[in-house]
Amino acid sequence: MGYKNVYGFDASNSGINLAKNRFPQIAKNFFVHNAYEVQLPSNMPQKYDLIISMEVIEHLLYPKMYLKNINDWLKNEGYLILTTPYHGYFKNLLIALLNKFDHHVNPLWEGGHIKFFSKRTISKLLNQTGFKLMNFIGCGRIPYIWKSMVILAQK
Amino acid sequence: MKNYYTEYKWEKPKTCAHDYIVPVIIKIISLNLPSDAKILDAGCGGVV
Repeated sequence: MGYKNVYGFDASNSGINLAKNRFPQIAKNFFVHNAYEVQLPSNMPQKYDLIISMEVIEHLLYPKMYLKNINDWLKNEGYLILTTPYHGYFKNLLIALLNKFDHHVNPLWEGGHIKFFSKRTISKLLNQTGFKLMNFIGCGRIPYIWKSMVILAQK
Repeated sequence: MKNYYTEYKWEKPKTCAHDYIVPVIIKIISLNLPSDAKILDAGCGGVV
C-alpha cells in the first residue's frame, strides 16, 4: 500500500523468521517480542500511527493487557485495526445444532484459540482499554455466520 | 509477567488473512495516513 515505515513483532521465533524470509527488504523491522511486555525493543519506534492485530487476540489469555499495551504504543488519536473470529448468537447456535463444537473450540489445537469474542464483548473490551469503536465489518461466509470481524478503533 | 508462551507451529500457516481479511481492510478502511506513517503489526508471525 506504499507505506515505508512498517514494523512487526511476534512471540514466535519461527514466525518472525517466516516474516523475514517473506519480506527480506524490511527484515530488520521484524522483532521477537512478548505482547504482554509494554516496553518495546529499543531499536524499534516506540509510538505508531496505526497498529494492526490480525487473528491474534483470540490466542491470548490476557487480552485486556494486550489492548492496554497497544493503546500505549499508539500516538494520540492513532488507529487500531483488530481482527478476530466472529462469535454471534446465530453462529453459536448453528455450531451447537450442527454438532461442530469439538471442531470449532478444539482443545487439542496446541496454541489455538482460547478466547471467543462477539461484537458486544470485543466492543466492551476496546472501550475498557481506551478505544472508540469506529467501524465493524463482518467478513467471510454470509452475514451473521461470518468467519471473522474486522474492527477499526481509535485511541 | 512470566512468559507462558509455547512456540507456535507454523508448518501450515493459516490463510484466512489472505482469503478474506486483508481484502476487507484494503477495500473498506481508508484512513488517509501519510506515506511516512509508522505502522506496527502486533503479532505478525507467519505473515504470508
